[in-house]
Amino acid sequence: MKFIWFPQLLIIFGFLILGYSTATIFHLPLPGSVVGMLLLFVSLITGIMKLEWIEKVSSFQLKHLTLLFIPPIAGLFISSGFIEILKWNILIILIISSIFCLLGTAFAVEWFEKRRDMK
Amino acid sequence: MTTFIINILFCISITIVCYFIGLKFYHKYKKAWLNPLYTASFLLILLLIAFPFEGVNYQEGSFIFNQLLQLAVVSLAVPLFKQWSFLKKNFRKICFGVICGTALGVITVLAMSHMFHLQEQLLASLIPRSVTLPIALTISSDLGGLTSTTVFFVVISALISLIIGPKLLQQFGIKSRSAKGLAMGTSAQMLGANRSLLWGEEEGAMGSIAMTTSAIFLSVLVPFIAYIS
Repeated sequence: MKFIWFPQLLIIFGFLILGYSTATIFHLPLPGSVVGMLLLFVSLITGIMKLEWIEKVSSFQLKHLTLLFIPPIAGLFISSGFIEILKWNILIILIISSIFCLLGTAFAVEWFEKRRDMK
Repeated sequence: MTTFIINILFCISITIVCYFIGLKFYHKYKKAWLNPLYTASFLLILLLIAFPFEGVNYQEGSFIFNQLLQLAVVSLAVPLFKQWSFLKKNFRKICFGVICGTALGVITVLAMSHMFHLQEQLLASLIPRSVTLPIALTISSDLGGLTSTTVFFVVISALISLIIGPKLLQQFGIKSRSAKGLAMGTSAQMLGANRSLLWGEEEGAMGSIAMTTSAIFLSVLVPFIAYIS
């Protein structure tokens, strides 16, 4: 079992390193991890990489993705600057922009679908 | 050096223990609000506040999770690949919807921050608020924001979208299945993708695609935002 996931983890780690170096060498404006993801995606599509080679580790990682979000949240709450950050104006911005984001996407998609149906 | 390693090991184990307790509760009672994200964080915060462990610095010890988060971003290629044929068929619709939604979100943040005269650092932490967390962290630090603040904004705005989203979409008479999934995925990412899976397969797939696409779109957009502001 261990022998299966360790090489898989190494492959994903390799793509992360590859992403970082690509981003630095070509001065890409993207974060290294995103470049790594795109590279992995392209390799999967072109068939250079097989899905089975990484599927176990990646699905395990994504299944427990929640775990990785807990430390930053806890770290924020126990840090002292927390109260200063959360003011009413920030909350309003977050609420309004969430509403705009939701409705903007939904209406754009509906409009697109209607236009296509008419054709 | 040894205290440093002990610190890291301690932080990792306490986090994982809290997570599994939260997960266990979630599987037992199957309530959406019992998501381990809330319960485990709550438990962990309680523990850290109630017992100020000698010589333990949690922020310092938890940096390892940041590295794991980077790895998880790379892993996002797998779900994207699995849904590729579906994505290709609806490529233009997805891109159009996600770009409109994300752009509108960013514009709203920019405009309102000007209205409230926010600090630049705070604004930089606010911009990636509707992107999936691992990518949001990177974008925020690229823009010069505070990563810990960004985490908070991302989680809060995902929660807001999750709570008001389904009602709001219903109020405005959105019927299209793709529209619902994409909207939730763009605005509430993981949580939204999870929620849209409850509506059905199509919504769920759209939700996770929207999550990834909006993240990629925003990380491409970031250099321009930095240039403008």
